[in-house]
Amino acid sequence: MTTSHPFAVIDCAMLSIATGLSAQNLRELRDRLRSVPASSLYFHFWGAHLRPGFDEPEYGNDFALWARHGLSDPALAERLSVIRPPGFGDLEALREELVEVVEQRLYEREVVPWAPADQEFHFIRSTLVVLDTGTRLETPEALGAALARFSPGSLFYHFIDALRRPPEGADDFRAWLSGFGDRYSGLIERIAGIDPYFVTLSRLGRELSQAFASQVAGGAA
Amino acid sequence: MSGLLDAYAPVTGEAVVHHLRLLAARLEGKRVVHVNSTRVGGGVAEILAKMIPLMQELGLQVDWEVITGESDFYQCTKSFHNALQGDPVEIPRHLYQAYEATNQRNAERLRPLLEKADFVFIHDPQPAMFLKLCPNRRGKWIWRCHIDLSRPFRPVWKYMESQVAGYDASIFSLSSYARSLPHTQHLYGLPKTCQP
Repeated sequence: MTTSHPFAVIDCAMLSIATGLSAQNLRELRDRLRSVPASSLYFHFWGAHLRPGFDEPEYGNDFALWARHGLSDPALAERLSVIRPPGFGDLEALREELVEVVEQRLYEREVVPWAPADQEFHFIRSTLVVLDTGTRLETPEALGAALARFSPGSLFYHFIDALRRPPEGADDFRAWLSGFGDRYSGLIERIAGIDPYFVTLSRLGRELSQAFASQVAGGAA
Repeated sequence: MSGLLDAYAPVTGEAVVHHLRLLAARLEGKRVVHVNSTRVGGGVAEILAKMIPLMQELGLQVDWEVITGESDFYQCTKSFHNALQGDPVEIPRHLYQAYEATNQRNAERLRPLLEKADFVFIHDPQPAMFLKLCPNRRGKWIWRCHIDLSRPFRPVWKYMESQVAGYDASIFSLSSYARSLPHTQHLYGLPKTCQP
């Protein structure tokens, strides 16, 4: 059984572009957060997923990392680190929450936290280069088998970047599987339980592969 | 070809190599020229020695050109390097003149290649003046700055800014290294690499 169209495997590369904007202290961070392009928020929340690295990131986003190591404010770092982009409808709602957390911390602190001169926060914006791999997968079984060969860029594009594309709030895997009616509802539910924010792309790939293996190879829901 | 990418694949994973091939497919056949000041020794030469065979294997037509000069030229560019990284170095006028004369002499030699290239990467300050010396260029020119420009000695930066402001884009290794320039500034921190 197939849906009306095959799953088109897309790859992507994230380009990092300097905005020229920076913050030396928490007040400047708040002011810049109000005006930086949304693509800068996107980069600082999701960019680390596509950066080469050998270990698990200490915090999920760059703002929390700077609060801890630039401003030496672990309490603020913790509050910023639990802000999950998937929990917000769009990047503007995410911006509002960021500003709110920073405003609250400015209210609590008697002295505005400053970073050392060489540890400014530099705002970077991103743009995605989207690449069609040419691979088309006709069935969920084929998709499950192919997942182990997905590049980090493909996992990012289909599971993370998809969250900001229609249909909003769903990754490409669930959107495609829903075209089969209720047949893969168990798999869809299992994928929905995977949180892409707190895991690396390699772990995300493993979790997706396991979900497909248990729900497709073992029989659909 | 050498199969260099195939040698990398067991280390990086096939998906990463396929990703590179997809990116390069859009540039297949494009003429690319890199210009720096030395073929051996130093980080830039090490990067280019490994990167250019990979770019060639990916289907791009890539040339690597090196400018040559006399002792005054290298004394000037060494002073540029130190001043742009914050050392308050006063550079005598005759060294600036040696810098400009050396760029002009090398540009005479390389102009036909550079002006017909689709992409020209000028590495660091040594050949930065080439942009002004190739008025009939048709491709995109990119200044690849490997230096930390976060706190440059102002007089020297003002001179160098006048040389690089007209580029189509620049690339820095870190956001903190970049300066405000009137074109797009990409960031590309070279990850730790190994040669299989």
